[in-house]
Amino acid sequence: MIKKEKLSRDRFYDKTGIAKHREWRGLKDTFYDYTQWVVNLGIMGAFVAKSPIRIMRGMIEYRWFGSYLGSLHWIDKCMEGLEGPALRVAHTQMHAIMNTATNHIANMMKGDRRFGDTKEASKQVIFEETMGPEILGGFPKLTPTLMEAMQGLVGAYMDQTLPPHYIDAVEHYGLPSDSCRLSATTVGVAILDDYPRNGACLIVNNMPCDSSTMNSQLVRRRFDIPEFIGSLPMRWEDEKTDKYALSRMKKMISFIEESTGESFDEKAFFEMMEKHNIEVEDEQAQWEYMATPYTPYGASIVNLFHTTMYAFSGGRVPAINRAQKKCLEIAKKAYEDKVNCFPKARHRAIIWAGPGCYFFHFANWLYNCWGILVIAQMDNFEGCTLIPTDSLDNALVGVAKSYEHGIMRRHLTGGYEHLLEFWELARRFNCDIVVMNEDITCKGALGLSGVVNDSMKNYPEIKMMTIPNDLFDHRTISRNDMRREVNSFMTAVMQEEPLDASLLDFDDYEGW
Amino acid sequence: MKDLKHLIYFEKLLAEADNELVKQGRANGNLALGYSCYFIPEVLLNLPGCFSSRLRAPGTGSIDVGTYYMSNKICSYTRSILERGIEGGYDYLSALFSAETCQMMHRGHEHFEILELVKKQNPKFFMSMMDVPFIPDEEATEHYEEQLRFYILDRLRDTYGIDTSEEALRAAIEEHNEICRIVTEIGDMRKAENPVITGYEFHVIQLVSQVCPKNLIRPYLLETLEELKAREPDAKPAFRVKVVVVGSENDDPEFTKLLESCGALVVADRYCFGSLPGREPIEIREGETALRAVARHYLETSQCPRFMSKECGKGRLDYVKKLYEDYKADGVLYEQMKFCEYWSYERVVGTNIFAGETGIPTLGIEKEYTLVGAGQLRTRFQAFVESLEIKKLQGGKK
Repeated sequence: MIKKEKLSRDRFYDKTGIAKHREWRGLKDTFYDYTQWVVNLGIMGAFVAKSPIRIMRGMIEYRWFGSYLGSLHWIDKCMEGLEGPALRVAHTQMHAIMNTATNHIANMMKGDRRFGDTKEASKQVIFEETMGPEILGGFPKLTPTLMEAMQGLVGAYMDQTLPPHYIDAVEHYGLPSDSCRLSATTVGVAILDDYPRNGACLIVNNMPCDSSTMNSQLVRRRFDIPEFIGSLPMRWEDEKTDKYALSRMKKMISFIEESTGESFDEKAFFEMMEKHNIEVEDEQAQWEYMATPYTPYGASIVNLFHTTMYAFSGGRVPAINRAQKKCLEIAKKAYEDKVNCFPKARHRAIIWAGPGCYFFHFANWLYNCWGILVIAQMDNFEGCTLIPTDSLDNALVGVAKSYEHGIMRRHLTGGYEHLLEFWELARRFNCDIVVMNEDITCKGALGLSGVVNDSMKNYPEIKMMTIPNDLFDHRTISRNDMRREVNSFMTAVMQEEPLDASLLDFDDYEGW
Repeated sequence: MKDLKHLIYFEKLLAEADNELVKQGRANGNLALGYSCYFIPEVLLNLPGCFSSRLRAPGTGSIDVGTYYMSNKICSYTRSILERGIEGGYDYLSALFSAETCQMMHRGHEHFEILELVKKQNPKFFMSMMDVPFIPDEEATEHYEEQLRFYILDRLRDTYGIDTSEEALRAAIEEHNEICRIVTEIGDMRKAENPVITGYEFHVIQLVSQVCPKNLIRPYLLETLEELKAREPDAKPAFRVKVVVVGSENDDPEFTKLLESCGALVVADRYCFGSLPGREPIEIREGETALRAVARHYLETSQCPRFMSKECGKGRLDYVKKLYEDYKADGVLYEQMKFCEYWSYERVVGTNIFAGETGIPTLGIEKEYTLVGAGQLRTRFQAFVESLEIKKLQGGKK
C-alpha cells in the first residue's frame, strides 16, 4: 500500500532541489539538525575570514568556486531522512569534511599567484587527482594541494551543472564523449584556465587508470612549475613491484627537496604516519559497527568522509580523527542501547564501482524511497592501508601501497579479482543487495561486466541491480534516469512497493 | 606496378590467426605464444622451441559474446580477440603474455584465465600478466627487466622447459634483428618520391612478419625484398598525396587500402602493429646482458602515449614530425580505435597541439576494429586528400 500521508517530495518546488521548509524529524532531531546547519554556516564564515579578499576574488575568477555556494543545500540533501544517532554521525562527519575542504580551498586562494605574488605558493606541493598527502609528512613546512578534487570531484557533488561546462570545453577539442568524465572535466578546467596558479612543484600520477594517465599530460600544460611523474606500479599485489615503487618514492622525496629547498624530516614523517595509522585503525573499528543492525553509519556521508580522510588527511588533519572518535562513541552507545538507527530500512546494500557524482545523495534517496540502507560504497575500502613504521624503506613502500590502493585504483587495477570483492564484503556487512554502478565510461569496470553478472549465481542470497550513470555528466543519464532503473528493479524483481511514492519519479534536472 | 609474387600468399596467411605457417611451426614441435602489446617483446617469445603470434581476429563478424563479457563500451579489438578466444580461435596457443598497460586489453586477456580459455585443448596453457612502468628511466628499465624475467622467461622455462639462457636470448635477438633488417629495408623504400611499394603491401608484409614463425616467413620476406629492389614504379603514380598514419591498434590492411583508394599513399606506419617503431634492431651494449638490452630497447623505442613525462610527450610529436619529413609526406592522419583512452587523448594532442605547433595538416579519426564505418571514413579521407591537394596547389607545402 502506497503511503499517502507523508510525501517527502512535496517539500520542494517542482523541478528544483529548493525546499520550501526544513525537513521535519521530530522536535529534538529537527532542532539538532538546525543547530548543526548553523555550525556549517559558521565553518563557511570562518573560511571566508581566512583571506576575505583573495577568496572573494577566487569566487569571481573561477567558475567552479561559484558552485560551492550550493554547499549548504548539498549538505541538506545528504541529511535527508536521517535521524537519531545516524543524523549525529552524519553531521559530525560532515563538519570534518567541511573544515577540511574549506581549509584546502582557502590555502589554494592564499597561494594563488593569479592574485599577486605570495610566499604561500612556494610552500605548497600540488598533487594531481586524489593522491594522498602522506609523503609530505616528512616536510612539516609544506602543505599539500589537491589539484583536481576541488574543481572536479567535489564540485560535481555540489552542483550537477558544473562539470558539463568543462566537459564541453574539452570535447570541443575533439576528445570523444566516451572518455572518463572525471578526466575530461579536469582537462576542461585546464583548457579554460580555471586552475589556481599555486605551488612550488607538481606531482602528476597514473591514478587510477588509463584516462587519468592521459589527462595528466594535458592538465600539466597549464602549470609552469617543476613536475614529477609519481607513477606507481599497476600490479600492486605483486611484491616484485615494491622495489620499483620504493625507488619512485625516494625520487619523489628528492624532487620535493630540490623544488622547495626543504629537507625530508624522518622524525616528522614517522609521527605523521603514526597519526595516519590511527585514522586507518579507527576506520576499521567503524566497520565492526557497520556490520551490525545498530549501525549509525549509513547513506551518503560515510563514503565521502572516508575519501576526504584518504585524499586530504593521511594523519594531517586533526578534525578528521576527532570526528572519527566522536562517531565511534555514538556508534558504541547505539550498539549498547540496541538502537535501530535507520528504522525505515528494509534492505542493507553495498554500492560498487564508479558512482554518478552528480547524484551524490543517491544513497539517501534509496533509503527514503525504498528503504534500502547503503552500508558502504566501494571507496570505503580504498586507501585503508596501515603504514609500517619499523624502517624508512618499509614505510615508503607502505605509502606507495596506500597510493596504489587509492580511490578507484585499488579495485580497478592489479587484477580482476579486486573488482569482485564486493560479494564477500556484502556478506561481511550483512547486505542483501548490491547496487552495481555502471559508469558508462569506466573501461576498467565495464571490461568485467559479464564476469560480474556470471558471478551472481554464486551468491543467491544477494540481489544485484545495475544502475547506469555517466559519472559527471547528468545530461546523458540524469538522476531521474537512475531512479527509474532502481524503481524498475524494485518493482519487477523484488516486487516491492516504495516507502514514499512521491520520490519515485520527479524532475530535478535543473536543480543543483 | 607488377604484383608482388607472394602478396596473395601473405594475404592468405593473414586470413586466420592459426595460419599455414603457424600450423607448420607447431608441427615442427614449436610452441605458439600469443601476445598483443608492444611491451611484450616479441623477441622473447622467439626463443628456441617457440615462436610469437601477435593476436589478430581476422574476419571478425559478430562480437556479441565478447560484448556480453566486456560491454559495448570497450574497444572492438579487445572484444574481437575475446570473442575469437571463446570461439576457440586461439586454441593453438601454448601461452598468452600480457601486460597491464592498456586497461581494456588487460581485461580482455584476464578473461582467458577467468573463463579458462584454451585450457581444454592444452591443460598447460597459461596467461601471464606483467607490470610495465610509465617512464623509461634506469630504475624503470631494471623493473621492466625483472618483470620480463619472471613473467615471461621463468614461466616458459618452468612450464615448458624452454632454454632461456643468455646464449638462447642472443640467438633470438640475432634472428629478430634479421627480420627487422629486412622489413626496415622494405619500409625505407617508402621514402622515395615515387615508391615501389604501396602502404597496403607494406602493411601486409609487416603483419605477416608479426604473426608467423620468424624462421618460416623469413625466406618469403627476403625474396620479396629482392623483388622490390628490381621493381619498377608506375610512371604516373596512382596516389595524389602521401600521409603518415599515427595511432592505436591497426592490424587491418583493408583500412590502409581504403585510405589509399582515396588517393593517400601511406608512407609511414606509426601505430600499434606498425613498423615505426617495432622493426629497429636490438643492440646489445658492452657489458649488458641480452635481457637488459631487450628491456632497454623496448622502453626506449616505445611511442606509446602511456609514457607520461613531458619529454616523452614532446618526443612523440617530434617523432611524428620526423616521419613526416623523412618520408616526404603531405599530412598526418591520427587514427584512434573507438574507446581507446590513450589514443583519444593523443589524438586531441595530435590534431590540436601538433598541428598547431608544426603547421602540418593533420586529420583525426575514430575507427572500429572492422571497417564497419568505411563509408564515413572514405568521405573524410577524400576531403582530407582534397585539402592536401589544394594546399599543394596553393604552394602551402614546402
